[in-house]
Amino acid sequence: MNDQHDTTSPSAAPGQQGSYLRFPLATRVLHWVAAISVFVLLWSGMMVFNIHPRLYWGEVGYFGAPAVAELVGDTATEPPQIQLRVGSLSMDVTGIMGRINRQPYIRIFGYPEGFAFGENRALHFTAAWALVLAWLYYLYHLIDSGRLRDVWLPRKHELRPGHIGRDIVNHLKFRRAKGEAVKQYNILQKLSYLGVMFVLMPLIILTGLTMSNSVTTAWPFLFDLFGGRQSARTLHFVFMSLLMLFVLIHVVQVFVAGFVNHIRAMITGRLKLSEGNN
Amino acid sequence: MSRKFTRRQIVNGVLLGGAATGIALATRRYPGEIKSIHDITDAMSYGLHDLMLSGQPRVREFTRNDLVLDFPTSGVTAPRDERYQLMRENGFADYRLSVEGLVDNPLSFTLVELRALPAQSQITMHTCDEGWSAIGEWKGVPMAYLLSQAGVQERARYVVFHCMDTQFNDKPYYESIDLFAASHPQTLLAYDLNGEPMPQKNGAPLRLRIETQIGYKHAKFVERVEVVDSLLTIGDGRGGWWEDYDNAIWYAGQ
Repeated sequence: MNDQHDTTSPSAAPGQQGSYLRFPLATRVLHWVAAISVFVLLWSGMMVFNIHPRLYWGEVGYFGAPAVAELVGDTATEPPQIQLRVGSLSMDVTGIMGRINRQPYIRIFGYPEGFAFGENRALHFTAAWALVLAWLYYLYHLIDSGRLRDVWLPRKHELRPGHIGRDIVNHLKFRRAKGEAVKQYNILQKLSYLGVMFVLMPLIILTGLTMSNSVTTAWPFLFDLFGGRQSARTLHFVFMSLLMLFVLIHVVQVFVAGFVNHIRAMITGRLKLSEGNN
Repeated sequence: MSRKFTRRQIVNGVLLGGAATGIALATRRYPGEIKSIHDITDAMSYGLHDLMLSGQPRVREFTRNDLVLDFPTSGVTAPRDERYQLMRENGFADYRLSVEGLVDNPLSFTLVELRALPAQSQITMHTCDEGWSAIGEWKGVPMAYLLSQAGVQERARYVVFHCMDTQFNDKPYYESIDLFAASHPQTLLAYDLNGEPMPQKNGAPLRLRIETQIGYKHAKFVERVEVVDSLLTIGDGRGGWWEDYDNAIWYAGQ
């Protein structure tokens, strides 16, 4: 068998029946709160971005100032053609990004209606509150329950280059963990969860807060940390894109590992151990 | 009954109780009616930010090298109101700023009289909720000075800025902040931008600078400052034109 993990249990066998409690209640509730909030943040964030689709570096940025990236609309055509420009690169993004006649066109079931810029911002902040509170509680849960130590933190031998290399190969071959090894997170999984929870999330939250006038009045060091208000806005996009890359890979992995089994586990908590059962 | 709780259950209970109390306190001091979840989270931001700003820290100031000379703008750039246009053609000689409402001494100033009051200059960054930002030198009268001259009454809580520009839905622009934000040492009614009289597109002859908050609060074309105890009877009752028209949130520190 291709057991990709050093497993502590010698009794691991393919085709083992039964299920075990993989996710405690807190993990499941917070996972779905986070999933919904991240979706709403992406959606409302893109609509807020559409009103001024240009990214800058430093403190100031406005129509007329040089941009590091921008969406340029050619309104002479119907419908308007939208180009994404990053440095000297240019890409047609008509229908995917941009605004037409000042209306955000990423609507879901007709929401939001009309101009709705104020509503989009409100939506962004509401989802941000939900995500930040979920994140804070999950930090407490991870540490207090011992899950951080027992499930998330890599063991010493897992950090050896040889082990990481083998795990990269396993991932590239879409080779699935089997038997008892399923119970443990693999090293790339551990590192990406740690990275999202302890690096990416704080960076996304802090760059977001650097766009808040009152927060920066109280904490002016945020400007120094990110190199200015417009830099913070641009970095908010960069970190958001990294988070979306994580979400994409995460969802692909759920399909690779068994979609029904893993989605059910994130709802009921119990993951079936039998092979090929998804 | 001798039921024992685990430590986790006690911590959860305390956190939940603390959060519920915090949200209840925050929504109680929110000026508008709580009509959607966004009003609740807005009240939470308002409460939290006020705690962070309790010492009234000043915002950063820049140097003249940082100035953006042709200052960008959003919203109405040339009011369509005939009354405004005539006033502007006349060099705002007929313009009056009034300070009224829950004050002991209602005030009224011409532009010349305003310029004779104690003035303050600051080079600060204007940030628009659309995403752009620019640095300008603003000169004007501190709101704290005007309020102290007018004598704010005990029950007053908010300051409303009534503007001369009628919006496309035929309603006049207005905005409001609380007395705490109005008393911030850098909150001004500004008549100069970058050493020149305020350009029309940026709000001539007088606009609000509320440095701790974002663009749409910085009302342009201001002619009447009203001190009130409630925002519910003004406009549609949400505290500003954008708030009434577009469900924008009232607290603009975020």
